[in-house]
Amino acid sequence: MSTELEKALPDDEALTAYLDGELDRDARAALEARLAEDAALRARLDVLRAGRPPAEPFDLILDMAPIDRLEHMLETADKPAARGPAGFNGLRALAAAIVLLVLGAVAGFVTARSLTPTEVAEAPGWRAVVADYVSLYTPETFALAPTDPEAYAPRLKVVGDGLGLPLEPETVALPGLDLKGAVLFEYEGKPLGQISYLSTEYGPVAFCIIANGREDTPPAFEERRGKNVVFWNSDGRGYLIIGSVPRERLETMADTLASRVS
Amino acid sequence: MTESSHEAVKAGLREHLRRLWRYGLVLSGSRDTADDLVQSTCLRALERAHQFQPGTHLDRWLMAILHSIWLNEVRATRYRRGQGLVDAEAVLVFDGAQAIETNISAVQVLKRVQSLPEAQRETVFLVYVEGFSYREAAQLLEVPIGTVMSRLAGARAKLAALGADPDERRKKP
Repeated sequence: MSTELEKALPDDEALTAYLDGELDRDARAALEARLAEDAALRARLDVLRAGRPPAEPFDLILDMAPIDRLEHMLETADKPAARGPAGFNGLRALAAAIVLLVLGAVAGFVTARSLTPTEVAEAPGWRAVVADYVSLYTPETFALAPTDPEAYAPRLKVVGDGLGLPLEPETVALPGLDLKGAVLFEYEGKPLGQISYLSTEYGPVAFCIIANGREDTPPAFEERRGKNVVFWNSDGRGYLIIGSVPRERLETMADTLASRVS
Repeated sequence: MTESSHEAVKAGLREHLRRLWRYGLVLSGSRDTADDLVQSTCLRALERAHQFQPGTHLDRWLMAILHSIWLNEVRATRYRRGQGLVDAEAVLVFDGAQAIETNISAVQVLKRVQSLPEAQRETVFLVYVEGFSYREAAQLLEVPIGTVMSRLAGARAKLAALGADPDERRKKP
């Protein structure tokens, strides 16, 4: 280490190694002597010091890891049939079936169950995925979410930008429901936005939009995972609203949103 | 393989799944690829459990396996498929984090690091996030220590410039 650093290293590298505590005593002393004499070198040291990224933000990624799915992968990998020279490509199909993206973000709780590849290939795949994870919501999911609708304006902008729609708290407001979140996901390469609400009467409700480029379809009703769903397609985007809300009420909410969001 | 090394490696995998996934995400910028990398790492590590030297860092051994799978098996495929290595998905991932955490400065740090060239990004991650020494990073990356140093110096200079640039948003993808 020291022999490498005693050579005339470019200053940035020596300064970086100094900041990182990677210089040995002699090299450090030599550099400190130069720093004492050289204001420009000290200024450069300050610049490089500011360039070290903090580690804490990377903890956010740990929280995003889909831990249930990863644990399932580990168990699967440990089954005798899975051992042997398994190549990466051979795993892709399996992984794609298990993975189904999205929700890693919210708590890492999408289970491996999800969908079969056939289901994924069909149009309503995204509705099934949404229903899967929305069925895991409880009122406590949103316990710490801000109560002021305006607090969601920046998040709605992110979601709206992703979908090419202007979204603001007033646009997505629903009577009797509190806005609780706006998140942008991706489903099969397409942006998928979700706006979450909490109703004291009916519990969690989610309004989702996917830029899927499909043809217009009028509102239709279905049940998924024990929840009611109203879905439609308009202007190249798929919409759905889902919750344990009586059908008629849910259809009214869908009308309200369809008239404002487009 | 002996049962004890197998069990030790499996326990280590279980303990470090999140960290391995994070490493995969930082390398690939893609959740799906991070999933795949973890899965391949699990398979490979269990296959080779007998090669693990007890008393050495299991987490680093696992990360070295993930690195090698990425470098030798995945990265080239992604290039062939014409996918950029820093794809927009990472940005979506971090926007998701932003929505959840309401922590804009943290997300900005992630995006800036993700905007670095891959070699710098990986080295920054290993040394400044995972706490590798220069020597440990050089071993995992199979490069000279001087290369680690020059990548870190280059990354610090870029990140400092980004941090000082009020118009950074114009660089958004």
